[in-house]
Amino acid sequence: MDPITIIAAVSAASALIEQATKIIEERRRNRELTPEQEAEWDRVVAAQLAKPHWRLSGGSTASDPA
Amino acid sequence: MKQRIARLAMVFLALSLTVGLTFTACGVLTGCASNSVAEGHDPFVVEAEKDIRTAFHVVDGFLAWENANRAVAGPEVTAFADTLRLSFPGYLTSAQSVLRAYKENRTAEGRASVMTWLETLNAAMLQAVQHLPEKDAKVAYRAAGNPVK
Repeated sequence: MDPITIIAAVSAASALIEQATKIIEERRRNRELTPEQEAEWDRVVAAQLAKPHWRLSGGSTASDPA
Repeated sequence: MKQRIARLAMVFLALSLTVGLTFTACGVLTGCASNSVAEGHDPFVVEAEKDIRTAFHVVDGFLAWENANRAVAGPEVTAFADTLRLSFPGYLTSAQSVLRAYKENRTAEGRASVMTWLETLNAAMLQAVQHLPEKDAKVAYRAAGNPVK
């Protein structure tokens, strides 16, 4: 193989690896929630709050004076 | 001469691929890349959002545990669980509201409000953990990212 071609390939591979590493590192970084993610979180919370374990121990009769 | 350049180039290629793949695998598989905050994002907000989620998950888990173990948990634990059922959703709403307001204006007052509500959520979360049996408390502590005592 022509040495120039090899050197060019090495250079291209290094640049590619550097780019890929940067992308992966950036994706690993923590970020603030977007409005869409906040809305999704609100849905998760609402779904959990509707589950039986969030009802008072007396259930629906807890506020019943009888 | 050409052969020497070619050999050197091959060695360099192998080295760069090895180093590159090592860094890539490090980041993807073991999490050894820095766990910092992305550029343009506020570390305070990122941490606050995490804290809110953690507190909710721990309290949610505690209430599910209490509900499933009511017969053995004892009346004091159930009474505390009911207190959380009444108060925690309001704490959560308040914490999220002040945090979302802070994201809009980033004022010192807004930041102080967020801190206050985070402390409230955190206190509720810790109390929930304290009401769990020891072995479950350790699991909850670990899940919340705290060192087990």
